Amino acid sequence: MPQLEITTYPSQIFWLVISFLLLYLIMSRIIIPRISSVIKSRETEIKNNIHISEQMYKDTEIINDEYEETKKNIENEARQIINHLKETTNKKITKSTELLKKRLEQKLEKNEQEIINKKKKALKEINKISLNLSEEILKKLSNKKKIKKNTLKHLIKKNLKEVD
Amino acid sequence: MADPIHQFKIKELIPLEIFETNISYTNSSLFMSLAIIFITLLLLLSIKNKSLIPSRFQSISEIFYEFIANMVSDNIGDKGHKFFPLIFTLFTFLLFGNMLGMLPYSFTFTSHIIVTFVLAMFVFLLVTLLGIFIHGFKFFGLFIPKGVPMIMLPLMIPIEIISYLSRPISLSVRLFANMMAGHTMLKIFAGFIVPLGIFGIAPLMVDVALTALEVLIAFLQAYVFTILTCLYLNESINLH
Repeated sequence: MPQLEITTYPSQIFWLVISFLLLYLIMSRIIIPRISSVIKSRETEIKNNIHISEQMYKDTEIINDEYEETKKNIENEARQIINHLKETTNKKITKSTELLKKRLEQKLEKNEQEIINKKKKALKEINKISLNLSEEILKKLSNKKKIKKNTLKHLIKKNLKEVD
Repeated sequence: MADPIHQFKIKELIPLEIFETNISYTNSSLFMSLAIIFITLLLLLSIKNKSLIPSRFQSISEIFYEFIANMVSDNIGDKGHKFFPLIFTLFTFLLFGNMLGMLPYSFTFTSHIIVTFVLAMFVFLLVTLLGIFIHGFKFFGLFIPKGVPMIMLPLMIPIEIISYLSRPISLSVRLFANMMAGHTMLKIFAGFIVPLGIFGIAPLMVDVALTALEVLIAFLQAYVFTILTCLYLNESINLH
């Protein structure tokens, strides 16, 4: 069995030690640093990207908050404007309706006054006419030439008052 | 029929002698050199582009790296970081030694007990000296198993010591025996192919299947050797 030939051992050990040391040096000095640098740079890249995306997320949240706030403010402002408009228009409406009422009342009063006046006038006229008429009637009925005008008047007035 | 053991023969390629010891450059040394060149070129070329998103080729080195990095961090923990290059070298050296041996007419340097024994002895001495260096006398507490009644200790401690001392032997014999047995078996079946004529197809099929199995074993034994090294390192660094 060649494995048990002791004379070959020194050579095998010698070259094994040299080969293993050489490979160890190549690996530890050249290859492992290169591979680990690639993997580390990838990890940092990923970390950075995650960091950036988190930052962006925060930024969008801030912008969103700002947007919500301005939206609220605008809504409030709009509500205020609407309320203000409502109030002013209501005031105007009440004012004008009151004015209208006053005018109408004034007109009504005037008209009533006029009616009353006219009624009085008419009554006076009726008095006159009825006086004259009753004078005529009495003249014709009594054939007397003269009834004292005052007594007659007094009589008629008395009657008229009873009518009233 | 060809001698199935012949493939393990050490042949001197460049005769060398120092202090009356023969340290000739042999076919074993040649395949060690080839393994180094192959590993270096493969990893160096694959990591050359250093691209952020790895190509398939670049993934080879990264998978190697992460495979060993996980092995080290899982078995040793954070303190094992210092030993990462050693474990990495050990794994790639054994893996490529085993794999290159799968090529026809090649030589498997891991099929020689002296090679695996030197590596195992190196691991054993490293682990022992490291344990004594870190923990001092407490390191020998390793030989007192936990949760064993006092009365059993006189029996258990010698068993533990023997099992500890036999680690380099088991570690080296496991790898050497696997590699030698596999290659011998391949050669024996290969020897039947031509003499059997048309029926030689049967041993040929067996050889094809065995080759697949041997590739698996080549990987597995390199893995076993390195993971056991990790476990031993863990014991001497963290005790238990």
